Amino acid sequence: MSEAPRFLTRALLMAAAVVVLLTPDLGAQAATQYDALRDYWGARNRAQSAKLNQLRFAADSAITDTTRALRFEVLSSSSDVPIAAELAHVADSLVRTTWMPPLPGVRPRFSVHRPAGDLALDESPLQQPSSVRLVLSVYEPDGGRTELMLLDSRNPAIGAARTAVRRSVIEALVDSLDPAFRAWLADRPVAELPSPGQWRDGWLELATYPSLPARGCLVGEFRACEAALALVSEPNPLKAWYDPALRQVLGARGVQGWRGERLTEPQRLTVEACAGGHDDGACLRFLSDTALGANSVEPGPHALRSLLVRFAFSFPADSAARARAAYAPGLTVQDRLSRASGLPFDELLRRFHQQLSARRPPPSAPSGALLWTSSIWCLAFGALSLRSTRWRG
Amino acid sequence: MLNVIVREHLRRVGPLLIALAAIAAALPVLSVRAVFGHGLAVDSMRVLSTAAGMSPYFPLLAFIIGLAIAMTAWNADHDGGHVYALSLPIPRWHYALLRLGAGLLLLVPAFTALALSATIVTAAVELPPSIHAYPLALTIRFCATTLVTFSLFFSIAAGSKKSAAWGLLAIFIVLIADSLYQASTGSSYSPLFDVLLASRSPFSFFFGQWSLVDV
Repeated sequence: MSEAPRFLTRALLMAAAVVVLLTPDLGAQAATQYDALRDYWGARNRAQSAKLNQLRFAADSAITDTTRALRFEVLSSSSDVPIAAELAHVADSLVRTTWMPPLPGVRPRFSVHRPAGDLALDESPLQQPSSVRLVLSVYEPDGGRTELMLLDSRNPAIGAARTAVRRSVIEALVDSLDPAFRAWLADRPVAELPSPGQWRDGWLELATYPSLPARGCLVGEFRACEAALALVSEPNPLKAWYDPALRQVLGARGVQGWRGERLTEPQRLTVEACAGGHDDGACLRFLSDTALGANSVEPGPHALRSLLVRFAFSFPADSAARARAAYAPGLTVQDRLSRASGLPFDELLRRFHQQLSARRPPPSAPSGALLWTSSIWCLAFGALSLRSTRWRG
Repeated sequence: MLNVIVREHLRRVGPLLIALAAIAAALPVLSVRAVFGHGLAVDSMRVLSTAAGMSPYFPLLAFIIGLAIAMTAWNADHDGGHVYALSLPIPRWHYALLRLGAGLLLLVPAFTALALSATIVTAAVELPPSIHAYPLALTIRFCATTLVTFSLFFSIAAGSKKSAAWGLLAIFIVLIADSLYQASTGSSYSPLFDVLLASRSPFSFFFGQWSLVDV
């Protein structure tokens, strides 16, 4: 090798070494980049999902209806504050993607105006809003109106304001639900249509839930699904929903859940005897005791109920019936969901299970694409290495 | 001649290879350790979370094995000043092919250790009804990733210092271009990482489902 290329090579090697040394933290940078990439694709997926939901509700809107379901107003102290417009936009997209959408013929109203300081943006020295305060008005079908005051000074970012609006809109919707229906839902219901990821999570929860109804539902027994959804009353749930091994699993979960908490000596012995196995009596005592495990006696995961409700409301049924189904008192859960979906309950359950199974996480078998791609890369790199010039130094 | 090259390479990496094969055999056992001693009363959630906790170690091990075997493949030639290789009456590509083949053969013990361990351990334990084991899928994924890593680093190691310098320069230029793109658009999105993590990229093999057990 002549002097010039050798010098160039050394210079390049040194430059590369300097770059590597001066780069503050490649690992941290990689993590940041990965997060950014994940956020980027997450945002794109959400945008696509929102578009799909909008299309679905546009299809619903083809049905003529004059009943009003909801009306929102976002009040702002200043129309030229970008955050106010942003919040109005958030509320708009929320209403369009909730499973209790505005009825056809009703255009949700969002206004940004000056209601005597109902919303104030405190300016910090850096001219960044340090807190967000606003009033959100929710008009309900029976003419009622709920005023919500939002105050979030912990995080002045728009993200926090968006979360606050989201929470308040959803809370307002949920508070309007029939109390019995809400009690059955158990968890705070999510008034949005389920995403593919949430279907996957639902399947995972069902697959890992320690109860016989959940396991029966997993393999497609619809009566077991009804039981797992807490739609069948059971006089002796401890015997009907669990076998001794599953009761022991609940005991083990109890031990993990109460680690560090104060238990009386008899309570501790009961929990440990149950979790340790071979003492089903201890498990029965543990699961009957309201101070210990009675709260964990459930036939299936709560998330499954919420998922079923959201699924039932995703059908393009008559919107007025849908709203009545959501708000009317005195109906059974089955009737309510049947009306909301426009399907007999058994058919709804069958489709729900079908949907759940279709969205289950794919088995981890490597795809043909992976095998082809890896083969091609190996051949390409292998062929490249056959042009070896290693002996040249 | 392949036999000689394999033995020579094995002499250099033998202890390391044994250690890596032992780790490969241990990982499946550690993945299902939540099941041990619980019989049917094992919590599915715990089994899944334990297996998920071990899953990053499989691609990491695949990377280490591929890298270690590839980077040591040319050590003997480098130590001997390439005299032996250049004195052989065979074309250069043929010799490189023999080195490549020897490296590939040395990957087999780790593959076998993982496959046997995963198969035996999943057959021996009783998983909850909703949980399934995927020993074959995991082994195939592990083999594919190790082979891609090995071939990538083998091709890098097969080049001269000059080509390595060109490679470094190319990486440097790409990093600069990526940073310039981010600076000019004001975005934290990186096209470079997008390319690196794309589904057909050799780096994409490190992601995906690496768990031995799943629903």
